[in-house]
Amino acid sequence: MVGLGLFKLYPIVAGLRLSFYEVRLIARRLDFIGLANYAELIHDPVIWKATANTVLFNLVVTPVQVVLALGLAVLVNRQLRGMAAFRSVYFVPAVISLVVASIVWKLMYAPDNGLLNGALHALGLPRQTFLTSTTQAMASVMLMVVWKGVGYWMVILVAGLKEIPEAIHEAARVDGAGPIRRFTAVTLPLLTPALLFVAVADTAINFLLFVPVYVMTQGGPSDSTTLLMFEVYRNAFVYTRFGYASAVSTLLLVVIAGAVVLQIRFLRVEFEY
Amino acid sequence: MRYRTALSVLVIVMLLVSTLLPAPIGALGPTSVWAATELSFVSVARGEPRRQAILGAIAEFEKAHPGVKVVLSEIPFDQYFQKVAIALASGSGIDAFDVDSPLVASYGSQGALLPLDKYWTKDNLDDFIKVERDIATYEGKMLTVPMGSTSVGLFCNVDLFKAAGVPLPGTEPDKRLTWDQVLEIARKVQVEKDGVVEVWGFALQQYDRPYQLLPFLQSNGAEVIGRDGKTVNGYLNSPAAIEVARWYGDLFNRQKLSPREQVPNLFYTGKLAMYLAPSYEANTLKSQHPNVKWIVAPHPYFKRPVTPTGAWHTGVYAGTKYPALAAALVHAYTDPEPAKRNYRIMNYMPVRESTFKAFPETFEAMPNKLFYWEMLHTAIARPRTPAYREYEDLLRQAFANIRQGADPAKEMNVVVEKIDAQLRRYR
Repeated sequence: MVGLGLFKLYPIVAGLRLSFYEVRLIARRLDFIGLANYAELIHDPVIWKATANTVLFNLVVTPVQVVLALGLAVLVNRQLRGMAAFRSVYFVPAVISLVVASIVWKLMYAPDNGLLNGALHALGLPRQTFLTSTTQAMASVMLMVVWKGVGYWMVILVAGLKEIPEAIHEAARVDGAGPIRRFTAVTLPLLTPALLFVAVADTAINFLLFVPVYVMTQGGPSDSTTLLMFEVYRNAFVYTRFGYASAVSTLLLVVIAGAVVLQIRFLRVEFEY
Repeated sequence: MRYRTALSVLVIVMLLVSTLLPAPIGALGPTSVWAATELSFVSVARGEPRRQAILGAIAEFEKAHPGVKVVLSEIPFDQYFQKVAIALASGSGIDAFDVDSPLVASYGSQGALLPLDKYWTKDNLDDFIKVERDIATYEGKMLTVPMGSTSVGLFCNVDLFKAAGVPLPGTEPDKRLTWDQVLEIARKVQVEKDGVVEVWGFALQQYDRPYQLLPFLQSNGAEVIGRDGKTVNGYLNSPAAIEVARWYGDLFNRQKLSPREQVPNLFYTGKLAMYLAPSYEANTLKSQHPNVKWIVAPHPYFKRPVTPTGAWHTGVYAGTKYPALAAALVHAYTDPEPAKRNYRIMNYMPVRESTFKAFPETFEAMPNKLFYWEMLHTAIARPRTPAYREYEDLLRQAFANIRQGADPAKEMNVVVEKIDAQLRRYR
């Protein structure tokens, strides 16, 4: 409890406290301004845009990652020759540094000389704008993040699948249940604890995402890819507005807390074995 | 259970005690309890051989001041500003430091820099070229000492021009091209095959940084900030500024004469015919890419010639315990004789007339003769405003958006609102 207080609660309280101050770092001034940072935040169109982007990002990326991870987990859990190799291949993106992955995907997405447009051109298809247009940039970042995270969650779900006793599957088979019925009536309910963990952890990670935006787009074009975490960084370390950044950080905390509470409510564990 | 609780309490107490100890910020450098006096110099990490300039200055200073030791902290450029801000905020581990020239007003307005007027003679200061003396001055006080600078020219690949049958531009200032002429040349030298550009006509080295882009606005007659440095409304969104923003967007999206994403090494690999780049590119090309044949033409213009300038100054922290010693260290780094050593080692343009005169073989020959001329006649420093970091970041975003197809007028108006919101904090 003491550790939790020191390393989790104390920073949250300290950040909340800082959000009521105007911090002039180099001038070494800390001026109490009450709720002024929050008042500014409410009227800041960039923060609203970042909030909307962050929520949209999670509404798309988290379910897609979880569903794909589940599909891959079911696939690689089969006892077929070579499955260990497939498991490793799908896990490779998870072990690549996120910075490196972001840099490589940025190069692939380059509109004039990138690998993807080169491939499209070779196939006679029109080149795409990817990270350089407001309509495609967010989707391009989402694609990279999905690719990066699926393998990691797949491994956790494989572990969850292996916890389900084979006897229950056998009993279902004997009762005449087909593969789809076995999946929906046996596998999915008994996998719920693992699914809940993956969903909640993935949500928290995706809400706190920063590196792909920093490396690939810097929040652009025209704030179309900016996320709350990136705005926290920008306000703190580019504009040295630590008080305002703390207010944005508090907003992010409220959004994440709300999302996690909703998830836990809707993904309640009902089955035990 | 009691054992675990005791262990937890012990760990926490140790952590608390360690946080209460004075922070050395000496992530910036070790300190010795045995030295009589220690000065800390914080520098951008420049690598060999360029770091020999500051090491030489430190050696000379320590020889002249026995009993005083200088602790040098070298920080990579991408972390430099944050770490200096933290050092200045903590007030320790920093006595003198490298100051990026456009940040003189920012540091000065926050009381971080010691006025240096009384430590420098008039003769010493008169040796600096005017634009650098002006950069070092904020609200009538000299807050920094110039150390190295830059200019910008249009590097042209001789072989690519020859292959396209286009004559090379002249290299003297009176042969300066207009931007329309540059685009016309770029169309002729650009090579495309099956819809893929194999040789680009033109590119900027810093394609969205205000360092290179502000002179475009100023060349077209636009001002880039109010006189007091506290508003950009009516300046960055003036008709002249928006006209340039439109031109810039067209360069990438309609004319398609420049790649939209910055591709490194295009000029070095013969894939780029004209390259608007800083003066230090000349030495880089000579030393690392001797196979590339190039000339430098004057920086093109719209209505009047304007060139970028500025690089690094040196400042003394206002809260230093040893102002006279710190000033002496800065002297050892920036006085006329060390300035000549700095020029030989560091690949910046000089900031002193005496340095230019000490190397006639360099500054009476192209391209350095051109760069020197530009620094004296067409160079305009970046805006002096307390919020320069915010100004630069927001303007950079706006130009990035325009380059990627956003409406230029809308972007310039949006960026004016954003920059003014940041500038209001400093009123």
